[in-house]
Amino acid sequence: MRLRPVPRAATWLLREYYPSSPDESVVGDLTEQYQRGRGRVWYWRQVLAIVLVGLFRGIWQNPKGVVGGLIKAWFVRGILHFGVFIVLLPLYRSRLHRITANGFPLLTIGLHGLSKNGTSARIDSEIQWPLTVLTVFVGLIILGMIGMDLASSSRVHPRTLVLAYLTLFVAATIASIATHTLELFLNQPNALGYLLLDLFALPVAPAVLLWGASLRKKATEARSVAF
Amino acid sequence: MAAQPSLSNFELMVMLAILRIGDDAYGVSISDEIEETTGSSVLLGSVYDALSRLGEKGLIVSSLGEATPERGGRAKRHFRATTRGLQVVRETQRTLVKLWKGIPQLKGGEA
Repeated sequence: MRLRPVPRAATWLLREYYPSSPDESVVGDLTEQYQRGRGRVWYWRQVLAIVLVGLFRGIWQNPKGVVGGLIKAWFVRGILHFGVFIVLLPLYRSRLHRITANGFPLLTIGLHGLSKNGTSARIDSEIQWPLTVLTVFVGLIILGMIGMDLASSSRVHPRTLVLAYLTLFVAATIASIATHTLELFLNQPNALGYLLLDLFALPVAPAVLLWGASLRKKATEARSVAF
Repeated sequence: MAAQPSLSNFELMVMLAILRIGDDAYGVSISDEIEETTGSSVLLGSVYDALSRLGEKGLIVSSLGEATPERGGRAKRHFRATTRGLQVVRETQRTLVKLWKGIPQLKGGEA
């Protein structure tokens, strides 16, 4: 009998982030249904539901620990971004009119007085793409580091913390997409550029975060085998 | 005497589905049974979550079954109700029947 290959990314997500199935019976259940004709959308929907239900259960079991872990991670990310921003300030100066403090998605700092002539008015200049690409690249490295940090949590199960952070991140990015779409309709300057960045971040940033967490998990497992 | 664990509506459905199916009760068959009986779609995630809670309460036990090629060589996890699980289902039934009795709006199946 020739089997249809199941969606690999979804199966990986289920294996890594569903706590109650070390024997893979859940993956087996989904595979069985998939072979009986269910589609990829059905498979993904089930995986996301299983993982999210597991996440809510983890949060329910230790809400204070999860909230504390998330606040810590959000602050660390904000501080790292700020540090990078300070280092790159000479490049930003007079080029970008606005810096979004990515560690704090609800807070957009309108940087005033950073233009060459020192005026405090906001300058809606064009997005400087090389600089933006550099910023995005550094942002992704930071996100990978945050993933590694979350995966080393000892107070809360790392799986719960990584998923909770990921869910928050995706929700914030979706909110940002909605905002920039609205700005695009209102003909705000640079709205399309920011929208493209958000659309890029939506799949890539979670993948980088999970990759960082996965690296840390493998390192921890290798260490425990060595001892 | 330890207090009887209570069952949520969905947990009760899962327990009843396990009892109805018998030996072949596993994630997919339980989900199918509930879907067929209630007529609404059920996410497997909610079934696994309920199974996990019922297991923690000691109302069901599980065992690994056979692995089939259709399942990518992975075994089925079968579930069955424990004696305590059966007691809790009976107790829940008694309580619900008591609550049902004497409600004038529900008499004669008119509601």
